[in-house]
Amino acid sequence: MVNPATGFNIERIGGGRYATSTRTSTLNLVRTNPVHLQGTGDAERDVINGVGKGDASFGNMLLSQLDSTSMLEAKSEQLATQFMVDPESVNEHDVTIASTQATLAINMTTTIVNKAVEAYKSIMSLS
Amino acid sequence: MGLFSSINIATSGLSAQRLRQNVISNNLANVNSTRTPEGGPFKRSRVIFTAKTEDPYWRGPFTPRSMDNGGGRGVEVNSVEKDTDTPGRLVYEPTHPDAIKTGDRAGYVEYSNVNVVSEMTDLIASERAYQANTQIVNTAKSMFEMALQIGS
Repeated sequence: MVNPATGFNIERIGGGRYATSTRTSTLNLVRTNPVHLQGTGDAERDVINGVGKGDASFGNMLLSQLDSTSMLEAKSEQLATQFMVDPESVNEHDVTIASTQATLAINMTTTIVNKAVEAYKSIMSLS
Repeated sequence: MGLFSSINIATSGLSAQRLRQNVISNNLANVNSTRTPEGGPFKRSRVIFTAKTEDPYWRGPFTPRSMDNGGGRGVEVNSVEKDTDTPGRLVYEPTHPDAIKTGDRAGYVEYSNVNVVSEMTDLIASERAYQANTQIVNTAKSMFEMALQIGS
């Protein structure tokens, strides 16, 4: 089945049987979206096993999100400094909106990180 | 359709209303100006707004999604135009240095064509529009926070 949001084709190695005997196989993500095929060298069957491999892994997504969050924060800080140094050169609503956007982005990042840590903890406490 | 698109659209509205307020205050400040660099009395200015679009000339299957206008891109100020059609106020002041010397209007001074009452109503309208845009920002923020609360 193809996930329309990511373009990944999710299938199982080993004939696609979902019986308990095949549960040892890993989840195999096949890239079918042509935009994604240009990502890495091994494009046809770019198997993603866990975090760190591939362009669209959770780790890379989190890193790019941290990047954009930090960019929003830097923009907010720069606007606030400019507003203090030279109030005529900047609109005050731009300052407050940049700070609001930075706050929201940080909230979202912390929420996602907390969820990930929570999921990790609940997996580690399996017994 | 980005994370902050509605906030960015509302920001364009806020900036547009600030510029409108600047133009209104300039009109009100020059309500009694009888001389301008271009000659004649002061003429009131008006702000012309247009909807901001990034319409591509040709749209194909590979047109990037950023070129799609989606729900809109906000407002931008097209131009600030002088209102030269409305006639100026005529006040009888024969001793004024800018008084009309000859003709049947001799002795009259032509002041600016700014109407203080309509400028004040414009000012109130722009204040309310600014308020509506800040309300959009606040609502978008609280909706974002509500979305973060889902499932926790």
